[in-house]
Amino acid sequence: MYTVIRFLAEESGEALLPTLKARLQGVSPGESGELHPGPPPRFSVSLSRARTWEEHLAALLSFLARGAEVIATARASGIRVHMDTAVEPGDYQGRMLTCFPVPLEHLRALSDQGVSFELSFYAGRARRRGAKTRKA
Amino acid sequence: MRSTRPLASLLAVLVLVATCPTAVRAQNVDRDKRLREVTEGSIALLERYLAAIDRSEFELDALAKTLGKDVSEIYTFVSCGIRNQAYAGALRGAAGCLRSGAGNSVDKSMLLRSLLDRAGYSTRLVVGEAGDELLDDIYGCTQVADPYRGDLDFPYSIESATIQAERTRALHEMERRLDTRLGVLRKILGPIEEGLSGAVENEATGRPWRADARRHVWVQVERDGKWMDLDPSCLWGETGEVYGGEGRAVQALPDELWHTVTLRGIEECFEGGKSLPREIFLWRTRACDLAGRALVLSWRKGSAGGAAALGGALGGAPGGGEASRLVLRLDGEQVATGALDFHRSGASGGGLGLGGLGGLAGGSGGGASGPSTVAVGIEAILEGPGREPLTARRYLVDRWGFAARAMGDLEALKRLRSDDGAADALEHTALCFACEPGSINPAELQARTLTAALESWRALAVQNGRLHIAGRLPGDASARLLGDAYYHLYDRTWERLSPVERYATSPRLVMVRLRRSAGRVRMDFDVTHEALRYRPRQPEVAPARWRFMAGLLSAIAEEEITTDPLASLPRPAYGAARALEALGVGTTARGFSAGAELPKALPAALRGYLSSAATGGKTIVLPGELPAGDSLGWFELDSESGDLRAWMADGLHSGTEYGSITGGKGEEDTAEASGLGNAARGIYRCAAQHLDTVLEAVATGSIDPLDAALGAAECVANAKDANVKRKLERQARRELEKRIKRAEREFRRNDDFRRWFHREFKPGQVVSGGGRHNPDLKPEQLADALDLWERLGRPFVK
Repeated sequence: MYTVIRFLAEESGEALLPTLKARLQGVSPGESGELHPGPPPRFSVSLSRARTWEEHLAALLSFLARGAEVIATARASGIRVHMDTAVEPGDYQGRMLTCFPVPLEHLRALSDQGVSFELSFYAGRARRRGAKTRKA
Repeated sequence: MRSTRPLASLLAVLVLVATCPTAVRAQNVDRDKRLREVTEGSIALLERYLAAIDRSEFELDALAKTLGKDVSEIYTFVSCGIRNQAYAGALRGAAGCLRSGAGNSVDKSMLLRSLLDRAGYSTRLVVGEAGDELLDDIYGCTQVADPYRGDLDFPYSIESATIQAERTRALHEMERRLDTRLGVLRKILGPIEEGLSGAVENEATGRPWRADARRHVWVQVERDGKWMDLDPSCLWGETGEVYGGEGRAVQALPDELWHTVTLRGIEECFEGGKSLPREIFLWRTRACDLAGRALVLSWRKGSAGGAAALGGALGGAPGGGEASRLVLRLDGEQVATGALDFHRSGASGGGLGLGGLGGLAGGSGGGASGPSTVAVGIEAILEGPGREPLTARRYLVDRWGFAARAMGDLEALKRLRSDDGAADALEHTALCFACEPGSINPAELQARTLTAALESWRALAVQNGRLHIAGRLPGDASARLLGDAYYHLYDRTWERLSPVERYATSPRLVMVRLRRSAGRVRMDFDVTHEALRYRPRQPEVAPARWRFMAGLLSAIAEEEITTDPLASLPRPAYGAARALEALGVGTTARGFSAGAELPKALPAALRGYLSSAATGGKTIVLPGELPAGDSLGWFELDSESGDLRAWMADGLHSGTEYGSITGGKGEEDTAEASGLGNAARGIYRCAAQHLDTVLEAVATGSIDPLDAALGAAECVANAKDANVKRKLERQARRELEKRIKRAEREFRRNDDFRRWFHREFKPGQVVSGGGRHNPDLKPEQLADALDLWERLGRPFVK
């Protein structure tokens, strides 16, 4: 599982992206990706690579708390803030049921700060499940 | 002065007489020079084209040379470059799998092993089983369009500019009509398409393809004294990983995994008031061993006609000369043969009085021994894992006749008088089988076309301002060429008709009939289940099948429909009938059900047969205007199953049967869809036979040789652009497919790429299909992502 938060600008807000990125360095040092000219102009911040959904939720809540000021600035300038969690084959293969519950407080925090949210399921095959390796 | 005039006139005449041959000779020399230039120029150009063809697309040795000795490179080519298709057993083999560009785990493993063997490695196969999850991963993943399929044309042939233009126009027109009709067809194919889809995708039916593909095979290669696993079916696979669970290592595949083809020569004899079959020869081989090879059946007449006749006179005992034989050859080498004697004496009781001395003697002998030949034919039996045997019989000679045979009319047999013509028919008949389970590779087809064209050009000689056929024309090659072209169009048509890709993997056996006469070659060809009935000597005219198709289709096209005889049919027969109509067949045809009065113009025996079929629940569809003679054709529509068959009174088309390799329910659906494809294939058949007609025209000098040569040269020159264009397009398609497959592979197994994609690439993409809630990526988007990731130095996402 891999969660990122993205800051996506319209043309008018493009100039603000470097400032926001620099400010976020103070909140989550080392987690920010490169500025991308787009379209749309953007940069992303890695939030979590933890194995459990709960850890991702915790990282999300923590970031929303720490970065509230930056997010508010971005939103005020018309920059969209978007959270996206990649659900990888190893996160759901071999299970009878996989759930990703989002507690009310997280929904409220996302909603209050104007952050959208999506889950992305990736195709593939879990590397270490069902396959045994016989290296020569 | 007066007296000098006659002298001058005489001198002038003499001069004219003396110089005229010189002028003609000079003119011929000039024409010869131009003809040679054109001929030699075309040969040189064709040789260059031939040398430019990438043979690694269809030749194992050429591919092995390209790939080198790197195990990983060889493995990646097979796992990523050859598509996965679900079917049971070893059908195509290494060569067939490469030609097709696709295969199941067995055929892909055979290809991988063959390449590794050529690279000098020690290998073995492992036979295991695949679970549902693995099967879904292998056969359920994204499939892009087959890069090996392309447009087909006959750019290289000996044609005048006029004929070439007419042929091109006719081809375009046919293509346009086909497109239009197929467009309509798609709209009305509802019931049939539902049936096809249901057979494959309905979970409740157990999805038969899983059972077919359950047996999973992969390869082990020996490296440093240990066996390393290579599973070529897994797009995401890595060397050394096992995906099919525990398996059994073997050097050779078990017998039950092979698809086989059995060919059986048969003779039917009239004996004791019955027609009894006798086996002339029996030959069996693995289907994959026939991939891309020429299998030819020919008739070798005995050394002395008198001996054969004498043999008959002596009551069926062999004469002193060599017996006549049917001979089966594989790539020119005899693989099976059996004696056949047409001149045996007649049956007892005065049933058959046969021609020749034998017949006379036998008949006059009253009760002379020995059966009489009624029919000679060949039977092909396709067998393999996961399917019922499929048997097809085709008659080379059938003196009984279609209607009489169908009705079991033994009286008709008793009326037969002579065998002379029957033996003669065999003398002019050779059958060329092309058994290629799988698709045809256009590059190979192009190479064969070029080779045949080159041989044709080389067979031509220039003399006295004319072109002559001085060498051997590539008869077999041309026959193969047409067979292959036929396959190719069949595949294309099939693909367009059927939404289910799997059905395109049905094994097919194509038989090409080849007749030679005075240096001319005539060809026709069809699929499996056709009977060639003996026809007495007739003037050499266009093949009867062609006349049938042309006659039936043009009659249909010209006549206005007054009633819709098909509207009352229940589904799915209704669907099949409407599809026929869309193909232009049903619009003016008349339908006859049980109780309806058939046209009186029909021969009595045929009326009897058709009435019987109608009573048996078939709807008979006849053309609005009945053609004269034996060229009448009709369709039989089974109201229960929707099965549709085409027949001809002269036996040249006795219905067609196909089977899907997976057996079960799919076979019925396959037969339906193939019935629809039949009419479409007929259209192309007409175009292909142009080649034959033109060769004949050159042989007989009926068109201007210079015009023919210039036209052909122009054709070759024009083909250059088309050739290059097609090649580039094919290369581009293959490159794109390779990129896509590599990207999918990386996407599935490389966490770094996937995470970089998620963080950096995805937000800039528009996801297609299904909207926001169930989006998907286009394969090209993945390929672009991988390109960018690699250009950026494969960054690791922190």
